Amino acid sequence: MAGGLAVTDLKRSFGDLRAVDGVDLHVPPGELIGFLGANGAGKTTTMRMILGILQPDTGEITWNGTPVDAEVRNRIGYMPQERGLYARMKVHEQVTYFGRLAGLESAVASERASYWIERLGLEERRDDLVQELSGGNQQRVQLAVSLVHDPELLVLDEPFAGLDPIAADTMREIVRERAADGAGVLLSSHQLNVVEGMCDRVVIVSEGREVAAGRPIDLRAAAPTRRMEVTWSEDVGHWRPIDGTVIEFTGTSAVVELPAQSDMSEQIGHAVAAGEVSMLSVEPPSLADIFADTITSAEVETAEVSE
Amino acid sequence: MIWTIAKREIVTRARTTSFKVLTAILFLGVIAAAVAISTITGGDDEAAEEVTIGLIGEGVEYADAFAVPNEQFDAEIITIDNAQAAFDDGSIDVAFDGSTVIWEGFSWPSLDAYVRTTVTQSEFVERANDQGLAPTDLAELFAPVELEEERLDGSEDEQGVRIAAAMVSTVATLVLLQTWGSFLTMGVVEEKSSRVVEVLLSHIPARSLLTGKILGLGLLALFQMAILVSGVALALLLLQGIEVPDGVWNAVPILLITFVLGFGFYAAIFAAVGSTVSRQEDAQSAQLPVMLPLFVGYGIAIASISNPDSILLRIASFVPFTSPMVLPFRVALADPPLWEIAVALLVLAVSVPLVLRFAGAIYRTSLLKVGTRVPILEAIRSRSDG
Repeated sequence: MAGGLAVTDLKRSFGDLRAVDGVDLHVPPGELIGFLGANGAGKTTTMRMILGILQPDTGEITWNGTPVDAEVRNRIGYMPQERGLYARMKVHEQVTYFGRLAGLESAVASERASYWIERLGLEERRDDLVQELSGGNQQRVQLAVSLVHDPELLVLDEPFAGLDPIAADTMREIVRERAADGAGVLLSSHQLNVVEGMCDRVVIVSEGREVAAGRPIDLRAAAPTRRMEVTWSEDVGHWRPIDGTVIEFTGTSAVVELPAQSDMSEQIGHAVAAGEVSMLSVEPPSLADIFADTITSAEVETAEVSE
Repeated sequence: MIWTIAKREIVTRARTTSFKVLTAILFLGVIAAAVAISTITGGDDEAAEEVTIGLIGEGVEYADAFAVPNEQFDAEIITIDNAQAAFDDGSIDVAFDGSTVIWEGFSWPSLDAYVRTTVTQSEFVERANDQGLAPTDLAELFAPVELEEERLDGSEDEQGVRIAAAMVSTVATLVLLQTWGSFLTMGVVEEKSSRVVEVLLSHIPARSLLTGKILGLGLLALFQMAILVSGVALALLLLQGIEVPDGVWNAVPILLITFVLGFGFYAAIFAAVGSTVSRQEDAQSAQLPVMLPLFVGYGIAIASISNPDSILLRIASFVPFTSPMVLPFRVALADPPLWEIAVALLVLAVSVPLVLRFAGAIYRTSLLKVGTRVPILEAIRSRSDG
């Protein structure tokens, strides 16, 4: 078994509802793993079991090969989907407090809290109450809380939800930096397009079960279609691809979906033959496109299960 | 770890205005009561009053008698020629010429009595000498006869002190358990509604969180109880003229023990109740069923003031829901048999870990359930996490 976090065949039901029904995950050190799926797919429940907040019905959660215990959990940084901070506690005091709970000595906790507060651009607010901060700044405090004890594993539940673009960039930058420093990162999202570009690997779940796992590039390559976009410098009349579906055609441009197994040089040649080409691309579909069905079908079952 | 949580509870709560105000009121109230009691009962303690007595003519013979120190009056003796003149320049309070006590206007009754007694006693000594009696014989002659007092309705001065002490212990227990219990509920609801509990549970088990919270708030509650008890004890020590019965002193350790145990008993229930609601607005109504037995205990105690041996009071002192209010009340008021105190304390002490376990399970299961109120039965039935 490789190092890092390993989750094997994890299951948990709430009454008749199988919230998590056999999930496997592996988060090696230094890797960014995307945990993707619709709301209610079982992501939060899985993360809560990793953190020991919920007990699994069956399955195994190990860290470097040994079962995760309280001591190991103090090396995990957790950012819950429902952000949670003490509204009437000062910023620095609060981050320090969570550092203490994670087992840091008082002085160390205070020093690490100061570092992250400064790093996240909150130094002017360090002695303000959290409730006096804007939503974006509260998110930064939440991130500081999950980072204060320099965790070896970050578990971030929907870290980009509700972030403004600047905060989202800061979040991406810090997450990448932590991974570069050797920390494993498990981040969940129901917006595939937001995270697919930054993850080394993704695990896509639906209704508590894994539907796909692998490197984004491999998952995309395995898709049955390719997307071709062409723009001509002149009107090409009634151009049609050799095979595949036309998604959009304007006379000077076309977006078509082609079978993945078709001969691409032949397809490209056919487009070029129609007129002078100014732009042409052939790409596999994005994860968001591939799993749009999975995501939307589950989305109907609405928000969070009673956990 | 638990101490880190307890410390946060203490620091945050002690910083609030409500805590400072409540503590200040307790402190000032108790000091005021102590001062009031000492002024009412402490007349003997006052310094002797300084007066000037003017002696004229034959009155001068009594100068030595007036020179004897007296508890009530510290008399300066001057010899005068004219009473009117001495009154006019304000140098004397009373004059005596050997047969008449002379006042400027109305007499000062206690000073008048003092002058007359002093003169009479001086005359007694004189007459006794004439009859060949030594001063010691005289003392024997005038030794007071000790008389017993019987009150047919059985009332005692002590009883007032006992009733007061019993009332104070019950009211203090009720108010502090209710106040701090409700702080605990609010704290749990705050953590649940702000969802901070999820971050907390990722670091520590629910059990430690609950223990830390009870410990922190319990220490603050005990601090306020200690202020109250020491203030009352001070007031009792200042009581003059009435002996404080042993039962009242015995009630002090019993009160502190039942308060600590009672807090442990009720705190877990208050916390469990808090964990079943998601909004502060619901906390108030959720607490009502927990407050009820507190008030029942208080009501039983107050209703039994004149009948401290009532069966109801005795039963209530064994039931852990009411014993924190009732047991110290009984000990202060009457002297219940030692075995009853021991059994009542034992029952309470044994019930605390049971309640902690039971309420702790409700707390753990309900903590992450957001939305509508978690029915208690469901919380008990469903499996406990964490």
